[in-house]
Parts: sequence; structure tokens; C-alpha cells
Amino acid sequence: MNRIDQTFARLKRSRRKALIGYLTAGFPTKAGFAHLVCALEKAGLDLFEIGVPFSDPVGDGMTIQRSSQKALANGVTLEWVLRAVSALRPQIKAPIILMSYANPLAAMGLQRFFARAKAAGVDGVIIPDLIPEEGKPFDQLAAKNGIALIYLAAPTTTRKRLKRIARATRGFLYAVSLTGVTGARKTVAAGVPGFLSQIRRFTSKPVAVGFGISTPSQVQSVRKRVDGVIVGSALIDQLEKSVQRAGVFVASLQKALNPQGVRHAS
Amino acid sequence: MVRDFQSVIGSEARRQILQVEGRLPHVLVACVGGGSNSMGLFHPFYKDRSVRMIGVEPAGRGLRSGRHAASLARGSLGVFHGSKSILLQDKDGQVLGTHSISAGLDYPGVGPEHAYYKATGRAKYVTATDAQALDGFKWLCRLEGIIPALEPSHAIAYLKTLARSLKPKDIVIVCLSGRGDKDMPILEKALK
Ligand SMILES: Cc1ncc(COP(=O)(O)O)c(C=O)c1O
Repeated sequence: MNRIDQTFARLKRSRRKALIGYLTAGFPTKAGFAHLVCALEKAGLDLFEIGVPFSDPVGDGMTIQRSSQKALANGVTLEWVLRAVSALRPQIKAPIILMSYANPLAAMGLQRFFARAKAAGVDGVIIPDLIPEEGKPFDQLAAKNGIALIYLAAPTTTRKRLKRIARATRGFLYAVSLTGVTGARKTVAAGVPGFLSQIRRFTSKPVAVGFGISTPSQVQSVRKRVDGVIVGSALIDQLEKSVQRAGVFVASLQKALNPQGVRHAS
Repeated sequence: MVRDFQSVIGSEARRQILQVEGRLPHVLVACVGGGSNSMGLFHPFYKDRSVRMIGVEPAGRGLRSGRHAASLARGSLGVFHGSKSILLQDKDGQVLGTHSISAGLDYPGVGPEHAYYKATGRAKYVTATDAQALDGFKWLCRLEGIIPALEPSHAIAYLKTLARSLKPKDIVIVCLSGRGDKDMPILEKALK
């Protein structure tokens, strides 16, 4: 059983929801990245989404564009990310999901990438510019290497495609809360509850909601309808201030997500 | 989708040339940035096997300078802006910065249908530098009193080379994808 499946199953048994944190690999620094991940696991992250920086992140807003540019300037490559994950794997219990646009993976070669990712201990991969219609070679290689390929659905996704995405996704289904790019927002879009219940009708797999989620009150407002919440830009915003601020922020989200308290890290 | 919208260019050109000349053109020439005006012209002639197609990419300060946007000439296979095609990228799959004197051609990718036309040999792709485009621009202004945009000035520039291999009766259609009024500030600087 994949580590992501195990994590969702374990959390479900204790009636908890997963807090998934997005970090850009090698941001703010390469040297401090492993320490950052360990600190944020302690602070309350249940799963990590680690972004491979890309020159043209079409699904991302200002914050992640900025962190990606900084990471690229720091010299972060897919190669570096895989080595970093490999070093991190024994230090944390949380699943590690790589988020990468398709092109850096294609440049490495899909076969080589998935084999290397497996060896490094990567549990899942999110490819925001991969559509299920083009997913077959990715699906096959991911399955062969025991890696969950996680697909995204948007509020504009038609029922027919939602069915297909629900069938194809592994680990969980990534529900994009809004029509637009990533970036902190003040409120959760009005249509989100309806969108999430629509998804539930198509799948019994875990569902995690992301894009724009940035405050404890937003987390509270969606927690009942999902198995997990994904926080990216708002976390990077805190991280631009300090690692400590990011830790405090994560703890506040974890508390809003699981108000019943006590979290066991394994 | 873009191709279908832009194909008005080619459909009308094809109808009109048959009306006026009673025969198909020998060559089509158009500039290639993302590839829409050129594919709009080319596509309606796709099945007319005798019609040659030439796309002109921006070589900027020269292909060897690294400061250009000639994706088909210098790019490789990748995934960018939602399609699998040819693009300018480094060994890690990061998209490269580009340069062209024409803002509209300053783009590191190209529509996948052009990659297909190139791979199958249906169209040929060449390049023109910033300097050649400026020559093409001046040439059309003086000869015809038409002020072309800097993008199609690349296509015009290539006519000088192309003309050497043509007979006087041959018909060439060049896509004049835009007018030069918008480029006056750049031209003012470049032609000083
Ligand atoms: C006048 C003009 N021609 C050509 C282009 C290049 O685009 P494409 O290759 O997609 O036709 C542009 C792009 O902005 C343009 O403004």
C-alpha cells in the first residue's frame, strides 16, 4: 500500500483530516530545505507537496512564480530535488508528493524520472499541466513504480471528465477550489461546497481541496466536506518572513482542521 | 482552434487567387511566432500538393548569438503552454528567454501543427534576423507604400532569397499579418 493511502486511511480511522503543505524545492534556500521540511512536519503537516521549480508555471500566481524563480536562481534542478527527497525520506514519516509541470519530467525522460523517483522514495506526483487524455504513459510508469499519480479537477470540469479524472487519480483527488491560478485568497469561492459534493458522487477516493486556501477560518469552512486541505501560496508567504512564522501558521491550520486535538505523527 | 479561426486568411486567399489568376500559387510565405497567421494561411492549401509553404522564424541577433526566438530551427521536443511541440529549452526542460525585434514573434514555443508540418516536410522553415526584417520593412514601404508590421517584415525579407529560385510568372502569396503603425517607436529607434 502506498504511503499516501496509508496516511489517509490512518487519519480516517482517528476521524482526522490531512493537512497538505506545498513547498517549492530549495526555497528559500537549498541548504536549509531539509531542516524546513522536518520543522513543518513537527508543526503539523501530514503530507508534503514539493514543487519542482519551472520557468513558466502557468497554473501558479505571483507567490509561487516568485518562489520558483528564486529556487531556479538558487540552482535547483529536478536532479537536485530527487537527491533532496532521497536524503529527506528517512528523516520524516509524511508522504512526499512531487509537483512538477510536465516539461522538466519529459526532459529527464519519463521512464528515468519515475524510476529515479521511486528510488528516492517519492510517494506521489502531481502534474498540473497533464490532462487525463494524455495521461496513459504517465499512469503506466507511475503504477509500475508504486507512485500515485494525482489528478486535478476544477469547478469547470464537466461531469464526464470528472468521472474520468476520478477513475484515473491515485492517492487522492485534487479539487481545485477556484477558476484561476494559485495564490492566497480572502474567502473560499461560493461554489466550493457544491463542487465538492459533486466530486463525492463520483468517487470514494480521498478528496483534498487546494488553491487559495490561506486562513484557519477557510480551513474550518471546508473541513467537513474533504479528507484533506492543501495550502501553498499562503505558506510560502509566511516562509518569506521566516521559518518560524511558517511553523506557527501550519500549527494554526492544523488546529482549525482537527479541532478535536491531539495529533500522533505516525 | 486558433488555426481554424485564422484559416479565414487561407480560405479567402485561396478563393481569390483562383478567381484572379485562375491557378494556385507556387509558394506561400508567412512569419512564424506562435504560428497562427502562418497556419491560417497554410492549412487551407494543405492538400494542394504543388503549393510550397515557407515559414519564417525570427533569428533576432543571429541564431548563433543565442538571442533569437527560432523555435523550429533551434528547439527540441517538449510540453509547453498545454501542447507537445518544439520549444526553446535548456537540458533541464526550463524554457529559455527569447529575443526578436518584433514583440509578436518573441515566443519560445510554436503550435504543434507546425512541428508536424516540419517533421513531415509539408512546410519548410527558414529564419530572418532583426536586421533582415528591417530591410524587408523598408523595402515594402518604398516599393508599395505599405507599412508592414515587424512580424511580417520577416516574411517579406525572405522574399529576396526566395526570388532567386523563382520564375517571373510564379505566384507567391505573403501573409501581411499586421500593419506597422504599432511598431513606430521601435522603428524610430532602430532606423536612426
Ligand atoms: C502582426 C503580427 N504578426 C504575427 C504575429 C505572430 O504570431 P503568429 O505566429 O501566431 O501569427 C503577431 C503576434 O502578436 C503579430 O502581432
